[in-house]
Amino acid sequence: MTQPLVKVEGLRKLYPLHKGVFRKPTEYIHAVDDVSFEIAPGESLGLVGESGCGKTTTGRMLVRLTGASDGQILLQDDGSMIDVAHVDRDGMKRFRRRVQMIFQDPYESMNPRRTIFDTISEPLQVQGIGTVAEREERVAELLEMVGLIPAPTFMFRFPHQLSGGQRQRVAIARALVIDPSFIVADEPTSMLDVGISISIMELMLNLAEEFDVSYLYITHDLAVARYMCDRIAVMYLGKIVEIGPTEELLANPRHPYTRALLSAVPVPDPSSVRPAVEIEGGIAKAVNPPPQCRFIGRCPWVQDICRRRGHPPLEDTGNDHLVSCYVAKESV
Amino acid sequence: MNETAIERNGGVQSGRPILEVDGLVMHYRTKAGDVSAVEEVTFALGRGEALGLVGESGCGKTSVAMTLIRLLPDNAIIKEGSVVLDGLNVAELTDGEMRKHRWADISMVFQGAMNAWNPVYKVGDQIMEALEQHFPDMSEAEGRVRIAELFELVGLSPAMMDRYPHEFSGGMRQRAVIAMALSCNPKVIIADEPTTALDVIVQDQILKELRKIQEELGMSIIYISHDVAVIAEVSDRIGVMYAGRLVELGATDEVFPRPRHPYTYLLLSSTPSVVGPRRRLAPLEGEPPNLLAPPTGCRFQPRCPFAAEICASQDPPSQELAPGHHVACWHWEQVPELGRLEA
Repeated sequence: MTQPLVKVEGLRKLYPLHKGVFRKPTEYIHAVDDVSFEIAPGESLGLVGESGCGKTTTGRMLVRLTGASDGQILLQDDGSMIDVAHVDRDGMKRFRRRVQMIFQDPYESMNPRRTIFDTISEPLQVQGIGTVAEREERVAELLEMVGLIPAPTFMFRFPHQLSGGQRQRVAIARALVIDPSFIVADEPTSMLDVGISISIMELMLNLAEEFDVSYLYITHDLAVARYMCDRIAVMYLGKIVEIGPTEELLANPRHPYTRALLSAVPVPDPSSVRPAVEIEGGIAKAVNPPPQCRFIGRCPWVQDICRRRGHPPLEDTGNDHLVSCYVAKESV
Repeated sequence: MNETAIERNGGVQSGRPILEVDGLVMHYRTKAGDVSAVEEVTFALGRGEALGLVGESGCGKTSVAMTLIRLLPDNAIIKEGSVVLDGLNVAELTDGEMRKHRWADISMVFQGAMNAWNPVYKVGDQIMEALEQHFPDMSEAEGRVRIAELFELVGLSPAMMDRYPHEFSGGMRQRAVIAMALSCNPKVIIADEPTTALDVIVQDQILKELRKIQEELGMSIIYISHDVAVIAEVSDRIGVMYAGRLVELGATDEVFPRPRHPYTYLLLSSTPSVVGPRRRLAPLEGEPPNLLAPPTGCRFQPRCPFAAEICASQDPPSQELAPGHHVACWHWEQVPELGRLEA
């Protein structure tokens, strides 16, 4: 890999559980626990998992909406790597020019009392870029790029006058307006109807190429991740359990959790028969988890080694495909 | 899918269907005018059959369900048509009469119902309340036996009936909702987005459970979902709704490989999948119409790639292309086979 755009190492987020008002926390939810990955310039990485697995927390830490408890997030900026966790005020402003976020809910992510122009031009205003006329021109240009045409008719409308799909287009325009190099997209299409969500996905793919931007694409839907991402990372209870190039990972899922997740996805073809899902039960919360593998309680493959040793490290099985499982390595 | 329960007869079930919906028209009266939510919808549900209704939000699929079970808001009017449930036209019943049949003959798993349990009562007690309404002579002990049965049927431990909703996971709450819907032995059950808020692994468990129950009890079920992949898995037949109309209806294994309505075609080609070749998906441009003033002619015509002059002026009638396969489109012959373009 060339120099990565984003490099995450040992990222951790612990949420304390307070048992009483004045007591010190004795237990922690390990929402994100020792997560490491890299994203290359122009690449999109899918972060996939069930609700509560820590994928959104990871995304929020990457844009510094949530502070990390531990670990490092490095972002390439003009050839040097900046440490996202320790940037000062000026650095923060620079950081915001490089990194943006698109949220899941287009109904909640916009100020209802501000016009579309205000919403999209806000980053320009904060960064002090351009005159009002120039900003207007830039916003019009972006509105056209995201398919809100003719731009002047959308510019001074309010969010409630737009449909969900149109709002998500506005959110994309807002994220792109300052030419960032990295966007965290948290389930940007999960609240939209299929036809509309495909047009949003297509738009994001086209604009990624045009703006040369990388995505961390957070989704619970493997089919969507397949469509959007070059690589996929599967998270389970705060840990990345498997990561690899999209088609390689889907064709040869190694981790028992990935296999279960993959075989549980319904297929829009009545003639196809899915393999049986081997695991049972639902996802729990990782409150002071034992040192062993996080998946041990639901794993159909558990062996002695899993009980004796700590959470398995992510190890390369070839083809850039990493798996965190003691048993998977031997069985394939 | 469920070949033992359904006697297939050239795609049409033999015997009288359990539910027959004929020419159903339902509007919501608003200050701005009438919203034409359900427009001339006709279909039948065979005994032991699973029918899937699919479409975008606002297409009328939940409105159809609410009309069938007669839980409509005050401003809704059934303008035309009949809903015959095992020989009884429920569209004509008074509210009081309907109360005897709702839950007992036709019941429903509502969208999001798993979050509607009253948090301060035990789950079993809440089901008991429903049982008492319909079986006033049932003793408490009999009721508990019945609830234990229902819990086992949906894969919950009977001991859970004495627990509170917060002690249940999302999947377990949904199982309990299904148990409640089954409590009065309905002939027909409507499941509205039964797994939408659940993670895929739990979704898989719930759908399997529903299919098992359906086979065991020979129950007839209407699934409602926006997700064609879910419908593909659970339904014997599929009905595709667009802007209040049922635009295509047919056996799932006929419609999926060869959709005949342009909307079905676009819906299927815009659904990503984890299996099969990775292909470019065709976006479905535009937005569904405003049902206060639906477009003239075919309602899909403004978004349809095959639209011609006739489509804007005349509403296409529903035609039966093959036994049991109905399509409402002037140009169904132009709809291509599902493209599998490699990305």
